[in-house]
Order: sequence, then C-alpha cells, then structure tokens
Amino acid sequence: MKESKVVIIGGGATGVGILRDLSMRGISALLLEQGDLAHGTSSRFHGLLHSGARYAVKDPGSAAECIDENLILKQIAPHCISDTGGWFVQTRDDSPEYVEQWTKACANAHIPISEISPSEACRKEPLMSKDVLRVFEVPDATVDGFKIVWANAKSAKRYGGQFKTYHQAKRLIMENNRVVGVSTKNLLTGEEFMVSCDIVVNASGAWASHVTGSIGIPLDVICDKGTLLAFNQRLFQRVINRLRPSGDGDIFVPHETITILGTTSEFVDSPEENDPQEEEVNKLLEIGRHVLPGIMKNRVIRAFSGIRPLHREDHDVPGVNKEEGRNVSRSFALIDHELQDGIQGLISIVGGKFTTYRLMAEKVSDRVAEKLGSMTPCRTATEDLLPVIPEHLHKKAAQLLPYAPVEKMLERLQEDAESVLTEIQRDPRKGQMLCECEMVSAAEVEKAASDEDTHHLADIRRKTRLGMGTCQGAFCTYRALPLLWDKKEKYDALQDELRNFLNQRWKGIRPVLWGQQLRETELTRAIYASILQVREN
Amino acid sequence: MWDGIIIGGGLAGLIAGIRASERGKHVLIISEGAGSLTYSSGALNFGDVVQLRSRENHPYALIEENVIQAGMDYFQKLFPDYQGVCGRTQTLFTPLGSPRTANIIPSGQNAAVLQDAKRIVLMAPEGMKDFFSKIIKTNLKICYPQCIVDIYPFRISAFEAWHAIGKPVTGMEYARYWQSGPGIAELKRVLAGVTITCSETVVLFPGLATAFSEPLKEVLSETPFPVIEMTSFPPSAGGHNLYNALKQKFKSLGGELLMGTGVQRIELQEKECRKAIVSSKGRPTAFAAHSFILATGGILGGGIEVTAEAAQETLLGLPLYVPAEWTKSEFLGEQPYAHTGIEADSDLRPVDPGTKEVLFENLRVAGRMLAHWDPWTDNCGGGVSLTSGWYAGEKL
Amino acid sequence: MSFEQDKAEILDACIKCSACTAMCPVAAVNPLFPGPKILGPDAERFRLEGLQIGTTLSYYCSKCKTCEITCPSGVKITEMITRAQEDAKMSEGGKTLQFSIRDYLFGRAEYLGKLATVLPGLTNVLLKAPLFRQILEQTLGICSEAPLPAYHTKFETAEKDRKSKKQVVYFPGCFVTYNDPLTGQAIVKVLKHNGYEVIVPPFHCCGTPLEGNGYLREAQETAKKNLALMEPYMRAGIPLITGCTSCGLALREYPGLAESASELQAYDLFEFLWELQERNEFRKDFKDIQVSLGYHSSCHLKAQGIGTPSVRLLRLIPGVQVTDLDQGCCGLSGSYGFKKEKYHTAMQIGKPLFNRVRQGAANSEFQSVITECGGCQVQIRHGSGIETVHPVWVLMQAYGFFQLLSSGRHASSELV
Repeated sequence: MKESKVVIIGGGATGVGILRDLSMRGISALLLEQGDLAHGTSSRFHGLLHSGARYAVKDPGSAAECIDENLILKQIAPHCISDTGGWFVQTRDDSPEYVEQWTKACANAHIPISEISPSEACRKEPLMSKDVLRVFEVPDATVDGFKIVWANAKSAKRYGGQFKTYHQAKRLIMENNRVVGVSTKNLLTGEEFMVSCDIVVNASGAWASHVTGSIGIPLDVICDKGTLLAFNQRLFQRVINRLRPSGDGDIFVPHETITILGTTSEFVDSPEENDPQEEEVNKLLEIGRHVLPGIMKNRVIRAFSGIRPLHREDHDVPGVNKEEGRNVSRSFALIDHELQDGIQGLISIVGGKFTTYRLMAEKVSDRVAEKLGSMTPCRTATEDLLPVIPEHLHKKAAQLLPYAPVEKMLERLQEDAESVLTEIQRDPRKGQMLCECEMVSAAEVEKAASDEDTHHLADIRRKTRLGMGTCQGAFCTYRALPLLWDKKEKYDALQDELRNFLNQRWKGIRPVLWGQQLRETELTRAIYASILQVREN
Repeated sequence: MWDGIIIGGGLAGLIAGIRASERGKHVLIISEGAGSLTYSSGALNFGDVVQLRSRENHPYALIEENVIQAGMDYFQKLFPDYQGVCGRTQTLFTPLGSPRTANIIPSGQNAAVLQDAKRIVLMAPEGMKDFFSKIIKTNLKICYPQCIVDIYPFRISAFEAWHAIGKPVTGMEYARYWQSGPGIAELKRVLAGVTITCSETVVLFPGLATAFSEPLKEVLSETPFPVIEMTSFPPSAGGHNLYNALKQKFKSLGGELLMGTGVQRIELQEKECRKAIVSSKGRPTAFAAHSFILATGGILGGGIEVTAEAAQETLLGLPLYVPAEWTKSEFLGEQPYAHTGIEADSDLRPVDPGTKEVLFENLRVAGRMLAHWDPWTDNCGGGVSLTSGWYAGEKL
Repeated sequence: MSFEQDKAEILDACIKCSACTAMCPVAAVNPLFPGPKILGPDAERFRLEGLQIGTTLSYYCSKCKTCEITCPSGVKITEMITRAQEDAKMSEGGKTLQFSIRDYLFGRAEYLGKLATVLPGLTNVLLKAPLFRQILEQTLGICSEAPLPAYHTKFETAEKDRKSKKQVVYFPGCFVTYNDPLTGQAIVKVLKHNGYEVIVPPFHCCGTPLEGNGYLREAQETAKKNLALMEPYMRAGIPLITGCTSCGLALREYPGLAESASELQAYDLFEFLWELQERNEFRKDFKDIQVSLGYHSSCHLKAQGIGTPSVRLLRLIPGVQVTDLDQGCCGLSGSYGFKKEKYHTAMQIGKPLFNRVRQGAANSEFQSVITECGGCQVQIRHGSGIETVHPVWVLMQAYGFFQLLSSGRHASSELV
C-alpha cells in the first residue's frame, strides 16, 4: 500500500499539526495513530496556552517561542481557545527576589505584564486566597486539546491529508539504510500491512523511542508523568499561577465548566504508566491549598495523568536533578536521523509543549519539504484553522436548543454543525440533552457515534465531552447505549463497552474518592450493579 | 416530647416509623430530602441470608434469623401488593430487558410466566425516556429463544405536547398518567389494541407500576394475556410508589414527617440523646424525644461524610469502621469503602469498635449506616434496610 | 465561610439524581419547562462560564421550592434559578413588556392592596366583571379565569386593652391585610387568649412576591424596611409571629440580611403555639366540638423546615380529626397561577390535590380543608369548590369564639 510521500506516526497535536502543514504545502501525507486522536498527552495536560511568563526566568528561549505562538494561535484558532487571561500571584511563601527577577525576564521576552492590586484581585476571584501579596496579569489563555487536534485533522483532510486511528506502527521498514515504509497493524481488525513512503516522521511523543527502537536506533525519551486534578466547577475565571520558580501543582486553569489543577512531575519507565496515584493527588491538594484555601471542600471529579516526552539530550545537562523533569528544557528537539545516525528518510520530533505544537510542526515540515524538494512555504501561522461558523447557524441553534450552550456545541461541531442542526429540526427528540452535565445533545452524540473514526464510547467522549462532567458517566453512559447498538458492527458488545467505559472513568475517580464524588460513585454503582445488573466478568 | 425521633426518611427510617407508630408511639421522622428509594427499582433484595449471616460482622449477623423473617412478613402484610418468600427469589426485568432476581417484588413485576411464553409483546410508549426497545428486544431473544418478540409502539394524546417538541416522557410521568382517571381508560384502550396471535402471549410493559393502585390492578386482571411491568432507569415509578406508600402509611398512623431539612446536631446528656436540633430556615428548631433512630443513609444519604483525610458520622461523630484498603480496581466488583459504617450490638445500638461498649442507650442505627456490607455485591440492599428498620421500630 | 465558597459547595453537592425534576409540579404538566435540575445546578456550571442558559424558560418556575424540599443533597435549586433571573435582568430581560409590567405589579402586592382597598366594594365589583377581567387579560396578561381574591377593608387591630407582661409582634402579611382581615383578627384573638399582648407595627410586604416575580434586590430592600420597624421589639426579645407561610419563610430568612437582624425570632403561628404547649402554657379550655378536616401543607411551610405544627396542635383538641392530604403543590404559588400563560399549568399542578379534596369531601372523610397559606386557600376553593380556611379557625371554634365572627367569616373568603 502506497498512498503518500510522508507517513506521520502519532496523532497528538504535533502529529496532526505536521499533517496539516504538509497537506497545505501539497505534500501527500498519512498519519497513523494507535488509539484515538489526542488520546495521549495532547489531552492529558492542564489546557494552558502559555504566555511564556512561566518560562521567562529559566528558559527565555522557550518563553519567547511561547508568547509568539500564543498570539498566533489566538489569531488562527479562536474557537479552540478561551482568552481568559492569567495571573501570577505571589503568596507569603514566595520570594520577593524572584518576583523582581521574573518581571525583568518577562520584559526581556516581550511578554506584556501588568500589576493589579491584591484587593481588586480578591474581588475578581473571590475563592482565591486573601493572603496574596502581589498579582500580575499576563496573556495566558486556555486551550482545548481535543478541539485543536481535531480541528487540525479536519483541516488537513480538506487539503487531502489522511489519518488512520487505531492503527499502530509496528516497525519501520528499512532498505539500504533508508526507511521506506511502516509495517502497520489495524488494532480493530488485527489486519497487518505495509505502508510505503519516502519519509517517516516520528511524532509519537512518549512512544518515540519505541518507533526508532524497531530499527535499533536509540532515542532517549524520558517519560515524565504529570498528574492533574479536575474540579467540578469553574472556580476561577482566569489561569492562576504561583509566582515562584516552576513547581508541582501550582497552576489552576479554568477549562470550560471545570477547573484543572496541575501538574506533578515524576519520571516513569513507560508511557503506559499513567494511572494517577493517591500520593500525587495529596501533593496537589497540599500545594493548591495556598492559592485555593477551600480546596479540601471543593469537589474533585477525577484525577488524570499524562506523560510528557522529554528529550534525554536536554536532560543530560550537568547538575540537573533526575527526579525533577521540570528542570529539563521544554524546547523541542528535531532529530534528522540521516545526520545523527546515517539513516535516511526518518525524522523524529521530541520534547516541546502544547503551546508550541504549531512551531514544531512548521520546523518538521520545513525539513521534510526541503528533503522532498518542495519550495512551498509554511502558511499555518496565518491561515485560520477552521472556517467561520455562519451567522444563520448561530440563530438556528439558539432557536432549536432553547436552553443549551449552543455556541459551545457549534465550536465542537464546526462543519458538522449544519447537518446536526438539520437533524434536530427533522426530529426534535434529538435536540434533547443526552449528557445533561455537559449539555451535549442526542444529535451531537449520534453524529460522533456514527463518525467513521469513532470506535469506542471513549472516542465519543473526547469529541463531545460526554461523561466528562459532574456525574462522570453515571447517566449518559446508559443513554449512549442505543447509539452504539445502532452501529453495533463497529463497537464491542454493549456490556463490554459499558464496563470498559465505566472502568476507565473509575481509574480517574479512585484516587479522589471522597466527598460528593464518592456519593456520585455510590449512585453510579447502584444504577449499574443493581438496577441494570451489569457485572464484572 | 416525642416518643421517638427518626433521622432519615428512606426505607429503613420509614419502616421504623411505621412500626413504632403502629405500636402507639408518637414519632417524628426528619428527612433531608427524598430517600434513595426513588432511584431504586422498587424490588427488594435480601441476598443469601444464611451465607451473609455467617459473615461475622454483617448486619444480618447482629439480629436473629427470625427477625429477618419477621421483617419480611411484616412488610408483606403492610403491602400485600408485594410478593416473595424468604430464601427464594423471584424473576423480574432490568430496564434493558434482561431477567434478574430479587426476593420481594411488586406482584406486577413478576416475570415467572415468561418461562412458558411463546410470544412476547414489548409495549413501546412513544418517546419514553431511557427506554430502548431494540436493545430490550435483542436481550429478550437471547434469554427466551423460544419466543417471538414483537415491539408494539403506541402513543397517547395526553403527551402530544411533549412529542410535538421532542421532549421525552419519563417512565415516572407515564406511570403517573396511568394511575389517573383518564389514564386508566386509555390503558384499557391501548391494551385492547394488542392482538393475540398465539395463546401463550405475554405483554411486557415499561413505565407502568400497578402496585398500590386498585383500579390499575383491575385493568390488568381483565386482559386476556399476562402483563409484566418492567423496572425503570432511575428515577423510577416502582421505587417512588413504594416510597409514597411508606410515607402515607406512616402519616396515616399519626406520624409526622419533616422533609427537606437536615438535623444539625443532637443534644446529649451523658449516654443519652435528648434533642434533635433541626436546621429550619433561619433559626434552628429543637425537638426532644425519649428515643432516637439514626437512619441517615450512609455515604449516599449523607449520614457518613468522607473527606480526603477521614470518614466521619455527621451527627454524633460516632466511631466508624473504615476499611484499610479503600477501593479495588474493578468498578462493579466488591468495593471495600462500601463497608464503612457504624458497628452495633444485637439491639442495633452503636458500639465502640474496640471495646464493644454501647455508646448511647437510647439510640439505634438502621440501614445503610450499619457497617460491614456492600449492598451491590451482597445483593441485600433492601433486606438490610427493611429488617434493621423494622427491628429498630419494634424496639423504640 | 464566604458566600462564594458556600455557593460552590452547594453546587458541588448535586449528584445529578434528578429527584428534583421528577418531583417538580411544573415540569410534570408543562413540557416546555426543562425542570429544576437543568435550569438549576446543570445550567449553573455554565453560568459560571458567563453563559446565560434557559433564562426565558426559567420564568415557568413557580418558586414553590418543592425541588429544594425533595433534594437529598441540600442543593438550593430555586435560589439558583432566582439568582440567575436576577442576573439576566441586569444584563437583558427575558420577558415581554406586558409580562414585565404585570410581574412588576404582582411583585408589589402591598401597593396593589393599598390601591384596591381604597374602595374595596368597587374593586370587587370590577374584579367580578367579565369585561374588566378580559381587559386585564389582554393588557396585563392576568388570566380571566384565575381566582383573584376579593379585597376587604384593610386589616386593623382594634385591640388596645391592658398591657400583658407577655408580648408578641404580629406580621399580618398582604393577604390578611387586604384580602382576609378576619383571619388576622382571629389570630390576634387566639394569641390574646393565650395571654399575649399583640403588637402590629405598620409593616410592609414581606418580600416574597417580589422574589417570586424575580425582584431579588427589591425584596431585600423591603425586608430591611420591615427590620427597621421590628428593631425595638427585636431588641426587647419579643418574637415575631405570622400566620402566613410565605411571609413566614421570608421572615425566617431576614436574619441573614443584616448583622443587626441576627436576633430576630420569627415564628409561624402554630410553631409558636406548639412551643407554648411544650412549656405547658398553651390554653386547652376547649369546647366540645366534632370536626374532620383535610390538611394541606403549603410548599412554603414545607420549605421552612419546621414540620406541620398546626396538625400536631389541632390533634390535641378532642373531637378534631385531621387527615394530611399529602398531595403536593396546589399550583398557585403566589401570583403564578394568576398569569395567563401559567393559569392552566397551575390548575393542572393542583389537579391531584383538588381530586383528593373532592373525593375526601364526597365520602365524608372530612368536611372542609385547612391550610395556613392564603393563596392555597383561594386555589383549593377555586379548584375543588370545597371550603378552605386557615387552621386558626379550628382553634377559634374550639375556644368558642367562632360564633363571634362567623357572620362575616365566609364573605372574607369569597371568591371573585
């Protein structure tokens, strides 16, 4: 099978960013992803679009990249970004010397900051600690990892790019020191086949060393596990950072209806080690308390962990403590294996952060284009990620769904909005909220369920936010069953889908099982174990 | 001064209140809100009583076996619309159309007759929420391969305004309608439309709960085929009707039910409870009583509050049994946290877990507040609440 | 704990069980109303994002508070909805001009009362005239079929006799003041009989009608005026008593409005009498009577969280049988059932109650119905045709005072 000049391995932000960039330059590309798009690190972070202020002191290069990309993304992808602004707050425990150092560093990196009075800050954020000494406003924002990844994938598709989810790259195929293709396995059918190409881009993040390892090339990627907490509601209206050298768990990010607190940092041996642990949760609560004094009483709906892929070379800087991944530079590494290992047709991209995904994609695509002799320049910094939603759809949505947050729905659906609204108009029953916590209509879930690249309930969740709210699936899991049943050829048996989904949710609830979420869990068990009599195998 | 104050108006609290009132006691039940019966199927499970009694600390092991039997008998005498025998289970349907079992069930839910059926007619009310006829049909075909399964869709004019805007009608709304005067007439009409193509036809009806309604039971007794009610996804009419029946029974015996308000704290005098201080709007109200029952529903009911650091009983700070291991990896399997609760003596009075000393002479604990059981894996949610509630009411 | 932290915790307490919507009397009869769960805690999470959700539909909420009474998690659902309406009003209204004017007026029961009682005879003639009612419906959206209560000469206490050592302040409320002064006099009589001097300062409306029509801020302003009038008595530790359950609910919440109000002791009449009974101070010099009554507990009494003290107390009277009807909301909810777009909803809400009342009266289970709430009385009479009065009249009869007032009694409760 040979469809494209380039095969990209990894469907996170970087991978889809490359897919879009190459497709826009007219270079044919196919992306392979072993799970669903954005199932890995790109959806398992705090959702912060950095202003760069956080890196200003330690890593001015990174900081400058961040502020540039921050401004670009706000321009090209406004529907994926909520321009909340952010604060850096100095508490009594934070050193005033650092504050001075930081303000200077921000100025050097051209990050605009402005100080506001603690009393005004407390008025604007009533749940925040009253003990803050100084507060600075920065252009931080929040970004939706799912949305931006899907927006890139859909945009790429419009330019002819292709992607295959649940397709695992088993190993690279070499001919005379040149990578000529990828042996691929369709994880849903078990079918194995070869995809041939001129260049392979390894953008598989925490899995990057597995990919190069298949041809014996070592690639030292450190798996830095970061755990985060999701609170039940929007506790703050803007991103709140502690004004101190970066540490664990000191950023609160309001994200849609919830608030995320993160992130811990701990090296682990494999990207599969992503179960959040109780100790990490306790650490987050302990640190978060300084900014959110009522933290023990604010409901945590789940914990989740992502693996940041850090490049070993960055890490091998003398004097860096192995236990603290945060001290490794966040700048990314583009490895042309032709230069490094004498293997042609293979490029790896590791490290970096979500905020700079576009820049990373641009650099990779430049290198690929150069190798393929393409002269077309990159346009991703200027061209809108998605077309504007026409005004009449806003009106139609508001009329058809009188109590739903329709703007959010339109942003999620994008070019599918029209067909979903038409479906609701045809059958008003589908305008009812299937997921009441996150207010997702039956029509929207149905659309996601019937997408060709949706294969599990969890894929629907990532596209729609189903099951991500307060009840964590207690009610909507059941309500999604008929949609799975209607397309049963592509889903597992209902009982299995249901059990797997509940157990996935459980993984994130277990370490935060107290308070109201514990009550919710009791209700959920009553529903599934007793009323529906679903049993573990 | 009340004879007894029961804190918690769920199954355990209401049964306790009914029993005590029937014994001539002047009883007040204080309930934060509707108990969890409204989320339940309406069927009551007792589990394997003999096996559970052999577990040292299980609530069943606290009381005599004949008390369990007596509680069950009492319930059925109270509500003849329920049927069941201790030690035997009845078959009924889950909302997804799979057969399940329980010990005491509303007679209308009994699915035994399906063993001999040749044809099942699944009634499919238009736009019923959380009702998936195609899935149910598939499940029925798997469990009853000898049967033809027909879906019988129908719509009634009472909910036209709902259908017009695509709003689903909940099972509770349907059930409530069937209980009304026009609903009964309509139900007759709908059932008359079901044609009998073979003599062993059985009709399966979601969103219908006939228990406690004489006219409804009469309608069903006149059909040429047996009609089986299905249990519903919560909130469900089956559980809710039982809740209402318990409430009405309690009130008709002269009991007072204070709803929507929690108890702030209990005033104590040495080893006795004296007054319940209720968080009435604006200013607390004190209610004094000779005797108290704590039936505050455990974790779900709010009687046990768990923080990131500790678990505690909310009213008196009674010592709790808390398992060392909190959870297990399989969500729907056994979960140790569910065993959190108060340890009690054979009179259901709370005891110190270490010394076994009785902590309060005039306080009894019932239902989900008791330690050492998991209703969902022990299959005895209804049984423990019913028997411990009855026993606490008997002793009040 | 701060207001915001408290608010956050209350929202967190919702476990999405849907018991509130399952029990909501409005959602049960009006499919357009998404129900308290969606408009309350579900929408609240989006409101925190700055999104106004379902505000227009929220005006179907009758503020009966059944959701709050039902909620097993203590979520203040009605409060959330009311606050959202208030916020929406600040940004942009969700109602038509016609309904806004009407709700503005209904919110101001006190001014309506003052106006109507200048010439109560004329008002009542007008309120009975079909043409006038048609005009009201067309212009203001007040349903022509709705049971608007008749107006009376304003309630005033003539009792100015010797000072008792024991004093109470009586809060008559707009219904007693303008529509049912005889009940007010009966309450004063019963309190006097139990040895209390009854003080009635010139109180304003309690604020509940304002709140019910979405004027939270004005409601608080009115409350503060009343608190000022109450101030000297409050300092002297004199309790404040009302026979109206909606006023009672509002008064009980006054202490939260100002630091200075924290000492306010607001009582429902029967709650107060029950306390006397508990202290053995309640007079039980009852005459021989034989009555059977159906009791309806108003939503706003339930929301007070004090139980049903009138039932408890009346059951002490030999020969009195009280049956708790236990049928939920009557549907009227203050002025909700008077509004043309809500009248039919209100009547449907009350249907199970009306049926129960008619059935009980038909098979002689009881002769008449008692309920503390004036609005419920009007609605039950309208819906069932059965006489419905304040429970204080049972005490009046038991004490042997009923004859004194019986001639004027029925006129007071007559429907237009």
